[in-house]
Amino acid sequence: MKYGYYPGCSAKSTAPELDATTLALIDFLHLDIKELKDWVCCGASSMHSVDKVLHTALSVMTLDAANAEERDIMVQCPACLAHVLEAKEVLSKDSELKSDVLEAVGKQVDANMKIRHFSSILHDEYGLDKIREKVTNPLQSLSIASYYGCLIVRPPERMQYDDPENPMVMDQLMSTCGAEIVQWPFKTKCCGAGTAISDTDVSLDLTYEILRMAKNNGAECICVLCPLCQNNLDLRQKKIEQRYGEKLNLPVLYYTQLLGLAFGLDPIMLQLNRLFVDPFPLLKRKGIL
Amino acid sequence: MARIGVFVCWCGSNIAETVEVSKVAEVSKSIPGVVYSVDYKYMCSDPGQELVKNAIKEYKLTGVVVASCSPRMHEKTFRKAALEAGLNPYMLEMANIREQCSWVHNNMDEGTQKSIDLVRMMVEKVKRNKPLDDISIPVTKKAMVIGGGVTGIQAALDIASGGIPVVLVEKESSIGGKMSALDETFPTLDCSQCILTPKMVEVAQHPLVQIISYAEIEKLEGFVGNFKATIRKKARYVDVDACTGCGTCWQKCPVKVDSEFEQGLGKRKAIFIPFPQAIPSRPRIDAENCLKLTKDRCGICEKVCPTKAIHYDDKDEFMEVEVGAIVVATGYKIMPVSAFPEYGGGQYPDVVTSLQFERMVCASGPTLGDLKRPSDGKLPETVVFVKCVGSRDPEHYHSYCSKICCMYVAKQTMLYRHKVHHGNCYVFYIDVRSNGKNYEEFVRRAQEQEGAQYIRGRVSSIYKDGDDMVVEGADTLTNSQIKVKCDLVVLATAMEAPDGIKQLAQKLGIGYDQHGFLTEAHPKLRPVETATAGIFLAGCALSPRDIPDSVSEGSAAAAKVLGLLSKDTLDKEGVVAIVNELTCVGCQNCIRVCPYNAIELKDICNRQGELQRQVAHVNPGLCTGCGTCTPSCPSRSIELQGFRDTELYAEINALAEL
Repeated sequence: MKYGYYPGCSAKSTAPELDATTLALIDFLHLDIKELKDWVCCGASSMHSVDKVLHTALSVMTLDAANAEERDIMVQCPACLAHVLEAKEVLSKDSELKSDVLEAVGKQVDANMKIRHFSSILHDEYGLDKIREKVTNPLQSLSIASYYGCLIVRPPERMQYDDPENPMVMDQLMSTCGAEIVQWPFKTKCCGAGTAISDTDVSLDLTYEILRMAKNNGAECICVLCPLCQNNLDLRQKKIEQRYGEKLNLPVLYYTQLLGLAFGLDPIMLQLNRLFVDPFPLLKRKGIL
Repeated sequence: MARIGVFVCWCGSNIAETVEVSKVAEVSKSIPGVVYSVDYKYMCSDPGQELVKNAIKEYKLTGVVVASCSPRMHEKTFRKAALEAGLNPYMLEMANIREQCSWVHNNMDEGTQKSIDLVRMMVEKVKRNKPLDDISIPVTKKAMVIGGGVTGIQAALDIASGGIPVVLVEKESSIGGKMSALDETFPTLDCSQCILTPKMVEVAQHPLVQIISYAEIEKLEGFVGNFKATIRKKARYVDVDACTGCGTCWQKCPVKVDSEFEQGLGKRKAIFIPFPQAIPSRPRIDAENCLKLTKDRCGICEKVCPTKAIHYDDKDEFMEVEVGAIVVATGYKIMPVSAFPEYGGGQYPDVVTSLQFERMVCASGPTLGDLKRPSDGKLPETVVFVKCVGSRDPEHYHSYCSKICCMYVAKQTMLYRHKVHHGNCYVFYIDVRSNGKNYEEFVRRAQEQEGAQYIRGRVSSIYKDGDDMVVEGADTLTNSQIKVKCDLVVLATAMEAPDGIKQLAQKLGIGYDQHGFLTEAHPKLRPVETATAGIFLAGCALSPRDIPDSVSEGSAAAAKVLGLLSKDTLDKEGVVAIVNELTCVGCQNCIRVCPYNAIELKDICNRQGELQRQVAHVNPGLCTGCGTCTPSCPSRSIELQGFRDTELYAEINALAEL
């Protein structure tokens, strides 16, 4: 295992807690993963609809950065993951787009590296057994609904993440940490983050459905992996509660934060205080903090 | 001396427009051996054939070349005419100057020259042709039907009614097939069991029908008119002759497992008959679940059996039957809900298949017709039917249409509304395909009088929200997304070829398509025949069909069998391979390449009966005259009659000498 960490722009702006907890886990588990020096923003979500060549070129530059350090790529943001995988596909066979992209980048770039999401690496490379050994603070009796969002499984043939209808990677990570996992139907339903600015009502409707379904199936909190999903479900939850007249109170945590809790890492280091829906009362009630 | 006649056809303008036919006839006269040539507007017409016949007699022709269309079109016609004029039919050859000349060229000079070349080639061949005799094969006047569903039952009944004995082989322990599990049938809503059971009884009581249930085909040897089938009678653990079907055993059996017949909605015992009207009404033991056979405990059925019919040491038995013709009516299976995770299949008990719904509403079903949803037994107040699940979806499942779903869904909405008068039912559809007698009217009735709400669009996902099932999909007529809350979802899942069909097809030597459906010899003109002579197809073994079509095909296949077996011998063309036993060294190359297993080794013995050597021997009944064997022979000892080397080289030389 020798990965270069590609955090993407969200982790460095709107989701610093994702970045911080990722680095904390890498450190705690002694993984040979370090942040790529020259990673580039993938251009989501505007570039791919504006200019196909430049959009692909951005991700090719990140591939190049990994080549320079002779590392495979570990990604945290599903949009970044989709775009670097797409760039790898473009480089895998000759086409007009490939030659245009390489011209824009200004050099030949090979794409033989492995590209994987951090959760996949933890789940099947580091392994559930080793994770279980590290758990010192089990998330006992905490009912967690894992919400994967729409991007990580789609399109399935590109993402190769897990069963696209019913992914289980996070669920298994969480049950390894001692949590109760909630089986619910909306694991990969879209939260509408793409329309959150342009058509907020649509996004609120979709997000409400997800929160309500999680709650109705007995979830006490939601585990996420996508910074946009987290933002949408967490930041807008109060507004949704007002709009639909329903008390939800569902903390929305990154899987990295929950893993960190189970490993007994410091809650402030895990930046739980940055969440809008306060998770502390729930975690204290469950005896996890 | 050869005396050859050449007959050049215009085929109206088909040939004459591109080929100067009179010139072809004229030039043909100069080919050595040709004593007569003529052109005529339609050589295949009666006057055209008379022309050929009269010339054969008048000019004492020893060979004929008809320059016209493909031999596939009219070779038979002209060879019959030659025979009528007293000439061996194999002394007539066709020069194809239509499909292979006039239709593909547009230059008159070139077309004419090519036609002359083609005629010259065939003249040289026919000069070297030898008269051949047709082959006559004796016929076993008995038939086998594989599959005891309604199609196979119909085929067996019709064949037996024609006086030919039939062996009806059924994989399950009872005949009746899928139809026996249906409630009512479209478009007349008559009860399926009520119309099927009399047929089952009739076939069981017919003196010429022998039913072999719980059996499969192990091996098939032989050829048309002379098949020898080995049937594996699977261990039943019940002596069907001693058993009276009294039912004591299955009443006392303590093991309960999901019933296949009830589609997993009801239970059966480990010793069981699949349904009360089963024929034969003899139980079998399910070896996987029987306590005696798995753990050597219990043994109750043996103790209670009044006729001592239970034998725990029963083994598979093999029987051989000789038959002249075979009908394959192996039916279908439907995709299980578990194949559709996006529709919650396998996860939610209230997502069921159409066949499960049939059992849920059927008066003989597990709830005795009391409609209850599987999860909690609640009466479903709202039901959603989803059509084309797995069908017409080449991206994920099957490209084909399962054909019957439109009709049975309309029927099931009616069955539902007849049980739940105030209930709501919705149908998601792509198209409504109701092309059959009284079918469109039936669907209209479901929509207009029986209150089924039809929504055009596909379903994206099905999930559970609290107590309700929620169906999300598109309404493509209002261009909107819709959600329907309901209590029960019925998926009209695709019909598929049954398990094991490919292995069976390989045993029988018949073709199947990419979906596993068996292939007919010609989709329009030979719809119930296979490419293997003597083996016929009927029903859903070919592709999805409804009951009327399946029954019609059962009868059609039976008519083919009766036609084939009406004669004492079968005549086939003399175009078969023959081995020169003096030069054959028995290398077996031809045996390896023969696609029809028509060649075997033959012992050559001296006068004392001692084995001297082995040579290849062609079974003329199996040989189709494909010619694969001839080029494989290193000593040129096997030759296809009508296409011998001397004949073919003469053709090629005639062209090369120009």
